[in-house]
Amino acid sequence: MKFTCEKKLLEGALAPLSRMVSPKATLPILENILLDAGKDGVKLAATDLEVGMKTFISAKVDESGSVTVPARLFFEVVSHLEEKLIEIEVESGSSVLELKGEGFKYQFNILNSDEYPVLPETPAESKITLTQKVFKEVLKETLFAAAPIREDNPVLAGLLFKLDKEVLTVVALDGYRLAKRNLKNIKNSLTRTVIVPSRGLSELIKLLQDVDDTVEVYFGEHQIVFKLNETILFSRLLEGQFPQFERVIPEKSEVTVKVGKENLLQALRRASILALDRESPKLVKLNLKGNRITITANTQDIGQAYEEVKVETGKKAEKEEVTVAFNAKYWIDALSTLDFEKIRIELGSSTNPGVLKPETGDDFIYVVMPVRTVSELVKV
Amino acid sequence: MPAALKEGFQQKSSERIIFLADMNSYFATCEQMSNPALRGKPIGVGGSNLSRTVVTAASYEAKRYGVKNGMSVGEAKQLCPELRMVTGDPDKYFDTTKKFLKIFQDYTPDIEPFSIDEAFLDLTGTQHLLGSFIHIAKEIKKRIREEIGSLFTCSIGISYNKRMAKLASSKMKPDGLVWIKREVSKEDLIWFAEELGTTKGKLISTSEALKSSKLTDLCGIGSRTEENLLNMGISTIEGLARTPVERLKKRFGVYGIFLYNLSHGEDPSPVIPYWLDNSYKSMGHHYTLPEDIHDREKLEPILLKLSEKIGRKLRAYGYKAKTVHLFLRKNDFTSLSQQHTLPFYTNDGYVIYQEVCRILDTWIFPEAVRMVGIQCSNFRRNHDQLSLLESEAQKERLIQALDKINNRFGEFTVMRGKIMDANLKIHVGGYLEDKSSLTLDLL
Repeated sequence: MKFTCEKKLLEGALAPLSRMVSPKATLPILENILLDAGKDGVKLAATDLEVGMKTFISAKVDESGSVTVPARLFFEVVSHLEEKLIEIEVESGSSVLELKGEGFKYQFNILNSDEYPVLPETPAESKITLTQKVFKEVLKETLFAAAPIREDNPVLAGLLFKLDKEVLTVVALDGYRLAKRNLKNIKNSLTRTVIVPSRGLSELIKLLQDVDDTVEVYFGEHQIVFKLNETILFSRLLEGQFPQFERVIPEKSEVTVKVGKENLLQALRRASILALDRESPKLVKLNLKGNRITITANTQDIGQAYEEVKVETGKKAEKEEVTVAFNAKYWIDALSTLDFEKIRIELGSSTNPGVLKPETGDDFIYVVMPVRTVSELVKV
Repeated sequence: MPAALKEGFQQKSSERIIFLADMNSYFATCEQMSNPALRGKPIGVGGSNLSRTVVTAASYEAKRYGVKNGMSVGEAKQLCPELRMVTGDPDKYFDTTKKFLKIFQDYTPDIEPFSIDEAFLDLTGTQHLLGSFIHIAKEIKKRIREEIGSLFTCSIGISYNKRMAKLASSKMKPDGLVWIKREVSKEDLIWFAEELGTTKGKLISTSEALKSSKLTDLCGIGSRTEENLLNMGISTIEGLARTPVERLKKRFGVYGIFLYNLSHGEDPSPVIPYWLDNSYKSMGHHYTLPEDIHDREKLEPILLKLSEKIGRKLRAYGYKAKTVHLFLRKNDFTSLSQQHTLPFYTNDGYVIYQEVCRILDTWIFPEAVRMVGIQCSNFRRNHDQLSLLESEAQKERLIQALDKINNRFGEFTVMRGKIMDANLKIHVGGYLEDKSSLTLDLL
């Protein structure tokens, strides 16, 4: 095998691929990247058997062939090179790959590509097509609310993709908060519901651009496959029962107000600096009364914070007053991710969830459970 | 002031006024109040099985014969053949304690129950409202006699910090009134005598008080520490006061600074009102079985009941615990003890019980169990992030509903079937390890 390619191209492909590889792979070969030089260029692939990626870069191929090399080291060396073009060669019968140019030569031990697992092809059926820009937005608005790996309830570390004819609903729920995004008017006639691990999606979101180019989503039996340009990313699906998310979304709340997103975000960020309780981090109280939300936080022996944010209220809301305690992180996560200028906030009693929606429409909804403070405990 | 003292406490510009009110022969007096036949007689209060017990509390009449708290019944009867043993009734004592705490509340909100029969009161700054503190002390004594029972007397110690007040209360028993002041002038003595009138009492200076006390008279020095101090060649409070603080620090750490301060009559600790005290480090229950238990099946309902009680208490105080500790004492007085730390925090009695069972699984069940104890520690304050998940919420709602019912209709109105027949007889214990049971419905 022998080819010459642009360093930039190779580095760009290797960066996401090297993240697919698990540092504690079950098989040594899974720590490697597959390089397969063909007629017009090189196919590259990496997987940890849960998620995986295939991509293609154009190259001047002198001799075709395929090998596997240690993913991380190979990527690290390539990324530090200053050359524009690099040459890669494996002499036939040799067990080393040579990466060379003017004044440098690196050798990597390789493993035979015959042992590399066969990666899935894109299934023919169950496909929807979206623009990258829109799909990126959908993921951005939901992904942050998924749980990190949860051994007791693995499905919470995944996103629910519910495809119901022309509507795609994506839901993330970590047990304490929920983010749901609807995408309407999709060209589709299928009905499928799958749970996709967030790990693959957080790689996907880095590959998606703010452009009108398309991304194709294939709903396989055990896998979901995303195809964008030359790149395919696939992920195993999670098995299990996703929580009944519809029930979690309150039908109506006591008070609804409109507020500038940035104002609320900054006030929460500042106030939570003084919410230092080790046992309930970032505990802030939101009080909604008249045309303002007040945010308070305090830590015994340290100090306290008070912030006021102006809101627009409906007529009814002016008389109501509600106070609810939250982990500020849950609001900050959402507010710092979302691109809305103005949002609606709905609050109920101190044990009811708070709701965040865009100024108009119901395509996005975010639900946060409050923190019950000690003073509200049932007195025994 | 020596520099070392500053490390341990901060001198306040105005001195505090702290009372320690200690009910004299408390359990015995309670029994004598409720049964006139026992009045004026030597009695001892003990556990439910009077042959297995010790004299938890002796009446003043019995003490005159040399009967001491903690003696075995046999030993006590040798000293005082006409000693009458009475089974203790903790509910009665708790009830009475609540009454005297209620009286204290008329003078200050800053009350810290120290054990079932004694409490600290911080009266700093109340003089302009209530008159002199000597007058308050006299009034408290009088009201206890009039409102709780004519046989009740208490020793009140007054000083500028808690441990000196505690020492003062021990200087005259029963029915004492002792004031320890840093320095006593002639004017002080005259004022004190005038205020005191016919009541018996004493005013002594700190140095006098310390000189006439043993190391273990100081609250905070137990027999273990005394032994350690003796090994360092320190046998008196004076000796302790002369010991360089560095040496004590090296030997005891922070506790060394405390000891040094204490030997100079200094104690910076505040009176922590019970309604502010959230300093629990552990909660638990132990139970001496009325008769030895030989198989695990019979013990399980009792362990479950103890676990449920702990769960309820954790919830009442807004805690969740992570560590569960099981303790069994065998009939030969050897014991088994082990603790497990859970991967999460809980206040669910059943979860505690399951962990207890897991510990039991690792043991060979002893031939005969005499006592069991469960303790939960490693607390987290229960500001509870509520869950969106229905299954979690359901569990929570169930526990809440049970708590509500049991609050209204009494403990264990609703319970798990397994513990239906597990009756725990309540024991009498002196030290109030669990202030919680006292303060629950006080306010």
